[in-house]
Amino acid sequence: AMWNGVQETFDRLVQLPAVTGAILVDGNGVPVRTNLNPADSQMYANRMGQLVATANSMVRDMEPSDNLSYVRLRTRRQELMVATENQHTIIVIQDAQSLDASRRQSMAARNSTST
Amino acid sequence: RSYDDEAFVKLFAKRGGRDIFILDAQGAPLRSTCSAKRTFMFVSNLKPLLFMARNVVRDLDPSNDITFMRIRSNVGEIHMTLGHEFVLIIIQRFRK
Repeated sequence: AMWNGVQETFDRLVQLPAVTGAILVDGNGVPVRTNLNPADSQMYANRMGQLVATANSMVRDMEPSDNLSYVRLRTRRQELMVATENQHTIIVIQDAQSLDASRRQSMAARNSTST
Repeated sequence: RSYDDEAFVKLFAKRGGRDIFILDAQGAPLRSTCSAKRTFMFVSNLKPLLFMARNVVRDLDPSNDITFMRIRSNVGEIHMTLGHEFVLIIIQRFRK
């Protein structure tokens, strides 16, 4: 049951626009589903795992009852999103240009329907 | 077109931005909307995270660099924008 919830979230996030990489990491830091090569997947899993753990402890430090939902990183070329659910970590990599284009599209669609 | 301090803060406050910090490139606070003690608490929590994220990005691709980081929790979001000469941090709380 715990695993299925994570699987569903992962499958849902993979459908996001402009996804170039998607990695599902289990509680032991092992990539169990990925569309990147094994070396890169393990590299992302290790680095992002550390980052999300630090972010979570920071969030708790600032407010003890709070919990991290996700971290989104934007670089020149990509956006990376990391989230943890049930000890699993989900990493999604999106191409920045395509992502911005699709964001502009949906903003335009939303603005035109609201007027 | 330039903003004065108040207009800048109000712009973000309208959208739920609660606190705003401006740091220089080394992470030293330049401007802040809250007390020095609170600023220090936030900055000392966020600075290591920011630099860790920057290292992660550079490790994965040395020619790449981080421009923006968003941390979302149950109670709010923290937006960090990294420019060449400064870091802009906005703390946002979700309305009930």
